[in-house]
Amino acid sequence: EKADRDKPVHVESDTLKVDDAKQTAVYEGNVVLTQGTLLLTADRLDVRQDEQGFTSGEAHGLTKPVYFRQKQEARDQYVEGVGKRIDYDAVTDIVKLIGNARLKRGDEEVRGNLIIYDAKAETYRAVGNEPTSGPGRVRAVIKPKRKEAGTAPAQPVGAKP
Amino acid sequence: MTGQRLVAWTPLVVAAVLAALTFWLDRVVQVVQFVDSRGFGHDPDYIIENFKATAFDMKGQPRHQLEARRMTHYMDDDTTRLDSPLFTQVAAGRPPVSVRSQRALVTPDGDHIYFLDDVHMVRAATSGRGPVELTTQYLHVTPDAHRMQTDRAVTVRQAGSNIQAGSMVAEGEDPIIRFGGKVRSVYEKRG
Repeated sequence: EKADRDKPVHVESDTLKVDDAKQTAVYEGNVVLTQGTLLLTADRLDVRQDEQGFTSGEAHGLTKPVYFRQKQEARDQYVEGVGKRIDYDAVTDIVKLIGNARLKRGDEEVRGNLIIYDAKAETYRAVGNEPTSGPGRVRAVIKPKRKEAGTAPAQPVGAKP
Repeated sequence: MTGQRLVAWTPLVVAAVLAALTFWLDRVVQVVQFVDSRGFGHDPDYIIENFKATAFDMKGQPRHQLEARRMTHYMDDDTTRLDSPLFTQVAAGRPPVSVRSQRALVTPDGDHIYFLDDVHMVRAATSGRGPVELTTQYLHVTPDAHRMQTDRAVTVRQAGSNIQAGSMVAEGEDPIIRFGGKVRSVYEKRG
């Protein structure tokens, strides 16, 4: 949801290591990040901050994939995603799902090595092979919406191959 | 045959047990004696009230400052107790770090200070960085080793963020700070 942007970011974990000079914070063990309806769970989260606060988080899945979920604006629907790593930039509102990435929203599902989800525009873009991790293909399943009487036409989904 | 031998040995065994018993008793009494014979209980040998002290480094630069309502030194274990202490560590080019609490204990060599009850540490603001504040009920400070640690609940507040944890160790002048025991952080809305 757009309102998420204006909410504080909460992070919980087993341990935390702060490097005061570099202004970095590494959370480890059962890491849970929440910001409004946005939820992210990981084994490790590297947080960067500046004077205004939280700027970005790089989440790593060591024992299990990183999981991400956020509610869509003005409708009861969630976008969910997993990846070996998920980067969340709170300034640009961009979420990058990296490595065996999968994103699901209602009937749509997309897989790839790199999926870039724009939380502001609520659109996503899948990139087949991320340069570093070898060949990969994008597989997108976008089922046409069933024409129920009186439902608003489905919004165009920005899934570009 | 064995019956007679047994009878012959019995007094010797009894005597040995008695000897061991008295040796043990003597040892126990000795330990207690050791403390009493010096005749010192945990009584102060000097008290200083409402003071401010400054320590300098080899180049004559101030290193630490200590203020307190009362300093009580104890002869028997050479420890010092401080009431309402305010300890400040200063270093060239670095923001001063001050720690205050209700009371503190200082080891004989002066290297370790244990702050207790309503401990409040503040590192002053610098250009571009707000102050850092820490609150807890117990903080072990080793000034010359630039080390602070606590195994009690601790809260650290900095511009826009608030960290709560069950323990903390901070080491180095540009500290690396490790929190443990269930960490909960909040980063306020970006300004």
